[in-house]
Amino acid sequence: MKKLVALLVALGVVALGRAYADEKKMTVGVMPKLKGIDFFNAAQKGAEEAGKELGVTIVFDGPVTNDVTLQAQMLDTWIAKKFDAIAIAPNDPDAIAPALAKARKRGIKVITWDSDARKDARDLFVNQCTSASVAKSLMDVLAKGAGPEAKYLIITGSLTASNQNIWMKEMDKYRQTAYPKMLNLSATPKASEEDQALATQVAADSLKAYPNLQGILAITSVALPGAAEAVRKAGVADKVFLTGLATPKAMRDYVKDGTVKQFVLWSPVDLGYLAVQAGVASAKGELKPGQPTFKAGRVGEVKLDGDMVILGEPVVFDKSNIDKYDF
Amino acid sequence: MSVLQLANIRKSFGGAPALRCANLDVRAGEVHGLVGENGAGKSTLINIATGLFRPDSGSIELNGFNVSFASTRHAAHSGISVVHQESDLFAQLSLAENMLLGRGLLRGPAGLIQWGRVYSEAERLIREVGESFDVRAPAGGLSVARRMMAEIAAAVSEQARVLFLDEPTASLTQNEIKNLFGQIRRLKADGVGIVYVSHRLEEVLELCDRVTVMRDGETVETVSTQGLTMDRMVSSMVGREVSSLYEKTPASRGEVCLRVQGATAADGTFTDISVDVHRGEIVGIYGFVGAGRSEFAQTLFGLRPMKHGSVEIDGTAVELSSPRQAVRAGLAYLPEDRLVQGVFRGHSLRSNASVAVLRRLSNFGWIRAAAETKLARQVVSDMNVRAGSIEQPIGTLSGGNQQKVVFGRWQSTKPKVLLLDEPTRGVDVGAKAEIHKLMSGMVEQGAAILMISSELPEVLAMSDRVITISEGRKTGEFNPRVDSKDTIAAAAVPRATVRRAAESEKRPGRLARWLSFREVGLLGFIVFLAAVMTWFKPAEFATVQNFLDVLSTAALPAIVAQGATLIICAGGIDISVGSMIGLVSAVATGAAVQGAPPVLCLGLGMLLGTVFSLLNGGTALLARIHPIIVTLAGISIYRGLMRIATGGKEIMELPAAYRALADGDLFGVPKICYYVIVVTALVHLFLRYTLSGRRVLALGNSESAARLIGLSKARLTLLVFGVSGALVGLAAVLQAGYYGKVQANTGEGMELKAIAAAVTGGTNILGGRGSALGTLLGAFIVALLYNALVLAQASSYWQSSFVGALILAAVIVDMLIQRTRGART
Amino acid sequence: MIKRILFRRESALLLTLILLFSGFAYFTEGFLDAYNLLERCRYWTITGLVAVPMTFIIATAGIDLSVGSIVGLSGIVLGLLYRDAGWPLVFAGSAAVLTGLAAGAFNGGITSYIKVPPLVVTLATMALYSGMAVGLSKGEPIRNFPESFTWLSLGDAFEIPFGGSTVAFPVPLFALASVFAVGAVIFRRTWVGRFTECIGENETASQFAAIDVGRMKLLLYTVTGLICGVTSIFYTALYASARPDAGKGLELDAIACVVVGGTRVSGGQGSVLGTLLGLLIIGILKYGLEMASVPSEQLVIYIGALLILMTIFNEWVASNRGAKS
Repeated sequence: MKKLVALLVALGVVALGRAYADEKKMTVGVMPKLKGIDFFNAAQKGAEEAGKELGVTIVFDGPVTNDVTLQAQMLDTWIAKKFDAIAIAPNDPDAIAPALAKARKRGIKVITWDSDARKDARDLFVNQCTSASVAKSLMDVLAKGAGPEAKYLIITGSLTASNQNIWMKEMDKYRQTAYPKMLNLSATPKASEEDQALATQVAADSLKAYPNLQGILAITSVALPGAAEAVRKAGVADKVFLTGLATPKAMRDYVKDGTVKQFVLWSPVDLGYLAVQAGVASAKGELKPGQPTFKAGRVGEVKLDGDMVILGEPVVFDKSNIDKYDF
Repeated sequence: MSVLQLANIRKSFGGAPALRCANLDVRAGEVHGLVGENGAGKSTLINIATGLFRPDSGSIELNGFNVSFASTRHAAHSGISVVHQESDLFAQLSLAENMLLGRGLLRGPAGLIQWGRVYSEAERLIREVGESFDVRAPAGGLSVARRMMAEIAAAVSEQARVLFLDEPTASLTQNEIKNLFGQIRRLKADGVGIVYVSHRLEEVLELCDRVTVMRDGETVETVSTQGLTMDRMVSSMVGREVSSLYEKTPASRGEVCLRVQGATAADGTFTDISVDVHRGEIVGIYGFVGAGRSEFAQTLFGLRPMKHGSVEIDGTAVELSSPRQAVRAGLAYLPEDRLVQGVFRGHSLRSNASVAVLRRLSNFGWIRAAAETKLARQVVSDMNVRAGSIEQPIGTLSGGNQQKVVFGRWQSTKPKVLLLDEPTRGVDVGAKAEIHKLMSGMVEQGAAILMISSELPEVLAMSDRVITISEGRKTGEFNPRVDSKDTIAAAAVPRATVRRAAESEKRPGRLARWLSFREVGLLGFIVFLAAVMTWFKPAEFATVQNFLDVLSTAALPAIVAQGATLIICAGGIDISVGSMIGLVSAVATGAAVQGAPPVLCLGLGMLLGTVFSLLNGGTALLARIHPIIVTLAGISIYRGLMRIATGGKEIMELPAAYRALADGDLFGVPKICYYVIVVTALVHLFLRYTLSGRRVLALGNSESAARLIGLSKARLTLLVFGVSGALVGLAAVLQAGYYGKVQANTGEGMELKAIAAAVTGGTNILGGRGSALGTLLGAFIVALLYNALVLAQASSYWQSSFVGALILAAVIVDMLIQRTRGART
Repeated sequence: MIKRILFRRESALLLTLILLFSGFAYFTEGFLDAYNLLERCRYWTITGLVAVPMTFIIATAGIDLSVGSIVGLSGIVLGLLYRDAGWPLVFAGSAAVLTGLAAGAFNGGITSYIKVPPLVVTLATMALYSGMAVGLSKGEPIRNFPESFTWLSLGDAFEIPFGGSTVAFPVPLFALASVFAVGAVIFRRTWVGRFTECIGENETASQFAAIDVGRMKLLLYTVTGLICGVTSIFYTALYASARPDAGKGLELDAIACVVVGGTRVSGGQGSVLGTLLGLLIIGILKYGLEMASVPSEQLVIYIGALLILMTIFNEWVASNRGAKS
């Protein structure tokens, strides 16, 4: 009886596994930082679009939290499945490197996108735009909205998020040269832990803690809508200029009611699309680091900088253009 | 005339017959003894007569009418009450509640409990049995004798026509027994039929009119006590002749082995006790439970701290600050409460026998298996333990055999001095005789024995000298061959006037009682924090708006925490609520986006929450696994289902009507604050003023005691899980409305916030104690801390450690306060 | 005799494992890849190391939710001493182990001597320790560890011939194997293990049987912290960086292994061997399902279901055994 139960469990599980098995054609694994947020859902759309165009199988999967250790484990499975190329948005450049190195050792082309891994661990990096250009766009929007002498603070995701930490460094560098009179009121960024409720709470408390606050930069796609909710509830949209990074879909209501006037992002659809294009081309040997440009389907000709493929410049969204985007 | 007649009762448990053919006939106005060895079926018979079990066959007649009891409540209602052995009780509930919970407390209109009436009724009942003590104090702090009196008072109060007393005197001393017998005779005169179950045959002979003897699940005979002798009873119980109950061969008295001088307990339970015990001598200690005798023995054994006094063994002074030191010095202690202090029920006989010498049987920590087996076999043969194998779990042995194993455990340490605390309590006649024989054998070999017993005949028969202890002081030393039984008993009696005066002093005043509430401490903490913040940041902090903001932040965790409080109070836990919030909010907002009206979404959310939570509770109950495992699995299952339900997408752009459920103000106060206040008020009402609420707390206090008063664990567990689920559903729907969005990690970490709020608010994580108000304050404190940290512009990097440290500090301080309070009572 | 072996909890678990393994091997393409299975062991090492002391803790009817946070904190101490103070890695590693030890001792001290239930203590210290990790590191991972260090987790000890070619044997497996072996021996064969089970079965009776309950618990929580400190070294090596959020969720993974392995959460009975089998069962299931391309959101559901099923199964085997005797 006991054996029977165990057997049934095992068989049931295995039968499930079988149902998902795929037949073989060229396969590209695309891994986001985490699944279930709009930004990466949009990227998935782009990745699958490119897959269809190029006639390759796309496996789009990632951990359910932005945890690099889970990414590494999943990568190992993909290595075992002998994918032809892997495009990954790593949660940490160093922590993912050993797993990526293993993939390359087994002849799999490795592309990073959204954020980079250690240079020696991947073949190419598909960059939405350089950190410097993200930082510049954000600070320019803030300066335009709140004035070049604005007193501001930053709300980030988790304090350990590497992309955000790099951007913040770049923002500070750019501020010192372009807007030397701007003042960051809080030396440490406020953490929102990818939790919208916490983002709202932190923003609301910050509005009270810093009465002379003029601007808030919320630099994750969870933090900005969360902070917008706090600004809307407090009714201080005219006093405090809120901007940051988020998807247009999440911000549509806040832009329309005037809580947020402008914010910044790039197209995650195009980013996913380009990552797959680059991965396939690289696996076929059609794309190598160092070439000046790369023809990437509907996105057209994109520039290369060494082993970095650059999608373009970030987009600034406002009332006039927000309805044009469906991600 | 018979009031209660049980005829041809049969009952089996899982195929094993417990009762083969039992008959019992109780007349009005008689005391009817029920005797038999352990396992003879006395408890089963009582449980059938009082409605806990239903018989497989046979009839029960009450006043000549055939009856069948659906529950203990039903039986009690029909006039059949029972006072169980070792009154297992709800330690964290008040004495009054313990007394009256079984009959549903006293409720006014709308079924709400009227506490004033409950207390005065309990006080009246206590007065009726001629006692007087604080009925509002937690029952856990009371002596066994008082609990017993209180239970009898409560049992009698239901116009009982038949009262079962199961081993009522097991922990009472002579004086208390005398008092109890007085009560029993008074009840008898009132025409109540009393069934008196006891191993103490002397008492049975003294008190009872007739006796029914049970053996092997059958009633052997019912005889009048007129002219009945003990030996006759014993042989009838055992089915053969038993040579002697108190066998003691005189041993030659040697040098002084144990010398205690001026021993005084650190907690004041005994003062200035001196005693010498020689080799080859049994010294009996006789006194009330609560007189300090067990405490004295436990102090010698290093379990409790000693303030003054010295202990010498074989002329050498020894330091006894831990049981290990005591064992090394040559002491051994057989505890009085076998189940709680003696055996490891699920462990094998071998492991139970060897535990005290295990380190000696090991080389560098490695247990020598052969040596251990040999030792266990030795114990089995020396102690004449009846068991199938030494690998058998000890819980499957009879009480007497268990006691013999524990005795053997200590004998194998080869102690110089044996401290025996009620060595034959709850042990059947056969085993009792054997244990006495073993004691006798040990002194013969030169050991010294200090025996505590509240059974006077045992003390008289077994001891070479007797010391009486009363109120923590030695009141005399006697020679049982010379001094009379009455002299010795009299010396153990406390001076009643002093005792009463001391009792009334202890009753706390209104202010002290008020201060003892956890909520007051929490409020104090909040006021303190608020004062500090107001001092530093008056403009930002001390505003109505900020207060409301903090309350809004606390609202959702607080609503979930109210549910968690209920579950924890019942002795369970649910760590899947975070994922459940994710799933429920996804479905509810999904419906809203499809155009469902907000109220429908709210209903749907609460319904779903209830269903999921019932699934959690139901699975734990049905599969009999700990809810923490079910809900640990639930964390990933519900989160996975949510992701599948949403297709991995975030849900936003919710209809304005839906958002209006939670978002926005009403009369200048955020709507969400009303929800949390209403929920808190309802949960408070439930926990404090409804019978179901009190039953939930009772269940969390003691599952076994709850079963005895007929509470259904399944029903109460499902109730709390159901209510908690509805609250989780409510919180899920509101969260989506308040923040305007559902994302993949919505609700993540909520379980920890909820548990932290409940625990900070004074809910006992082990169950049985908790309050809705405390939980709200707990949630508020956590939110306030974050608010204060941001307003104080503290570095975000250290925030989480700061909050963690403060919660820990709050819990520790509470623990210390509870402990000092516990020490006082 | 055969019946007794079969009814041992571990045999039932082993059978489940074999069935799972052979099922996947037969049905799922690419599952039976020695290289890949061995690669997986590097990750299992992290959970496995923590699960061994967790078995002891749960057998005392306790729990330690702070293990993940201790791993994070110890790793950060290691990283900071290495990067900022310029300590040699051997000393920095020892400091990490000591940090773990101190953190564990703090848990144990409060649990055993102030008698705050361990669930509450470690819930609070979970926030406390991970907060300290974030605070000390300012949220930034510490990088650039030499390969000689990452070898501990990423290196190969030797090559084993396998199907014509060779497969490398991961270094951390030695740590995993030795901690499990030592843990199992201590649990089953020494008085420390026996007393652990006694405390879980009946804490009061343990005290009355002259077991120093307070010191035993302090010891167990301290050793748990110590092993978390050791784990942090492997963790840091595995991801070539010391991360303040390292070990997040580790407590639940470890508890799941212990529970699937048949240790009862109500204490009194446990098995380190069972925990190993639990680790492998969960690991194989996860790996097999991933190989079968089951999406991650469904995968977590199956793992959850497995946890419940295995617990019911364990209880059932235990009660069967009880009925036999």
